[in-house]
Amino acid sequence: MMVNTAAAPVASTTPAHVAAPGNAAQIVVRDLSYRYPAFDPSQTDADMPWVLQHISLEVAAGECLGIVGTTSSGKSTLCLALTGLVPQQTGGTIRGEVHILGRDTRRTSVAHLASDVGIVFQDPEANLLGLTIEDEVAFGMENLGVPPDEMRERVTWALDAVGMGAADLRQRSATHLSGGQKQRVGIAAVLAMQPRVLVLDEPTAELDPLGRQEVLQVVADLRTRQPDLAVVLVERDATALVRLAQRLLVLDAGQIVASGSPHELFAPQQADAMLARGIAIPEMAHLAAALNRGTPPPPTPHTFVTLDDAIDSLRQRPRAGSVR
Amino acid sequence: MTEQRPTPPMAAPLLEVEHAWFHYPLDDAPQRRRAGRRTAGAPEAAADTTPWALRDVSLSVRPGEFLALVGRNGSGKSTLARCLNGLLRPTRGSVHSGGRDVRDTPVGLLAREVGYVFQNPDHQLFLPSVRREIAWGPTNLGLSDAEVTETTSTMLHRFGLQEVADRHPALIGRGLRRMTALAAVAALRPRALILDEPTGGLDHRLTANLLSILHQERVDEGTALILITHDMALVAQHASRMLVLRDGALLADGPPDVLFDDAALMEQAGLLPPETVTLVRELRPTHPLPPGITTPDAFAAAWLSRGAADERGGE
Repeated sequence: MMVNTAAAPVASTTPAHVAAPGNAAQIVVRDLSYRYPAFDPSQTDADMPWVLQHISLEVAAGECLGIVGTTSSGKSTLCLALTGLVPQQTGGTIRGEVHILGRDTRRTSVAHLASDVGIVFQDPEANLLGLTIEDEVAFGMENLGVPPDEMRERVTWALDAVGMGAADLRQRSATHLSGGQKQRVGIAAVLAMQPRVLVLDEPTAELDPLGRQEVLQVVADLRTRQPDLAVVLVERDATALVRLAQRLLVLDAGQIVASGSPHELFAPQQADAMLARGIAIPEMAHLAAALNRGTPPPPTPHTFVTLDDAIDSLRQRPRAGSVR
Repeated sequence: MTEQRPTPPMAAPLLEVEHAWFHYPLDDAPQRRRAGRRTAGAPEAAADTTPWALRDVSLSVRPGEFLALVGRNGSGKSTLARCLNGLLRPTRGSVHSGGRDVRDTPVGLLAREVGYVFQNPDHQLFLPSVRREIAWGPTNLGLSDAEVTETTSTMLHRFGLQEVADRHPALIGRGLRRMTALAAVAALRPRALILDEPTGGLDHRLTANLLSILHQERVDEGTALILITHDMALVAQHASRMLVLRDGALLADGPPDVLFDDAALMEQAGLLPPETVTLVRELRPTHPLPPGITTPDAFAAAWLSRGAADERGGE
């Protein structure tokens, strides 16, 4: 675990945002800094703030990296940089390097990168075109000139992967689906391109709680189905991140300020530091921290982060009245 | 439930909804998408309309109440809220706002009684400075220049917007934009405020800030707060009453702690209670705690006082 704060540096043998050795790094970001172009004619690009600063990270095949941060901390810009849309579509000033499967995102066209890296945005409507479910999923492949037989196979595979493969469903218009189902179709459309890297930028932000669960379950299942897929997940729900991500980055004002496993970063002793950064922690980590602060303090500090661990851990504690 | 203050008992209701039914006309584009859904057991839902978006809803809202409107997407939360401030009028049944039937009252007057803060602040902001945005409502109510200036500066102060008062709302960040939208509605001095997902897109810090300002409005001005949200932890922490909607019908109306603990209701409404509520239920056979615990802080307080009881030799 590594925390970049001047006040409380935590020593670490391996920087946690570098992929474990031995696994092929699908994403390599080296000292990336970026600022958007000026949109006000009275300003130049040099007047614009750096929205990403000295970002370095690696994600290996089969890994899921979670990214958390406050509003406008640079999460979405980082996601766009992984697809080449930043800077190819946005312009602006970029320093450092981003490599996806060894290809430099500045020297490879976005269209070519799209077969390696797929991105799903938070707004379900933004991911869809208003076609039938099958055609939504086939759309990207048509643009790549995939042969029709293979296209049909891939559509079937991708819709199965998100639990939307029922024959009677496939011909229906995607516009009548619930938000959660729309996001699943959006994910299927990206999967059909057979990317090796999947970037999910707050895919559940606009869904209701059951819709969120639905989509996060699809992501979990996908990692079992496709064990080599590298996933980058921006997600505000800390509880979901504990379940899904192996490693977590905390972005603040465009910089990586902490990284480690979700259990480390959301541990009760980190609760105050995370909350001070404006980042929500799992409800149970909040509880463990409150119990540890109590008088008298517990004989051994509570360390649970998930509901299941909280239930197990508290059941072990003495019952009320058991002293007698 | 430890963080809310008591509401004044039995003041006259601000809002009264009696057996309200509502359906959108078919040419109402946003609702058309849902036309595929069928509704059983409803009165004469004509072929040229969408299914009932509200079905026989009755409730009343009193001054100073903090109530949460919860349910899945499409359950009727926003439709009910729009009926409360006169943006929509019930197809059947009645809605009274401040004793006036909404059907006989101009929308402008109703909007003054019940303010509506939209989910997306960008849907309601249109002026080139935060100050002018806040002054717009009071000016249109016909207040004198002096009164407009006074109200505006009060709101800038209360919502922490003094430093950005003369900046363009587009350039101040989403959190402050949301505060501006809220201040602009609060400047009309409504007796009730409807907040549609007010914390969406806000981080932890801004959420806490927003809620403390809202509680202040409620306590100081007696403003009733009606919160539409999916965030059950937020409901547990702040609301004293929860209305659960499903398919346009009101499934339950009661204290959040009681409703959260009703597993069958949560399942039926498609809601997930806060983890603390599930934890209390799981521990109940071996480690019973007093009722009403829905937040981590309330749990910790109860658990620790239970520990103190142990030290005294138990019960």
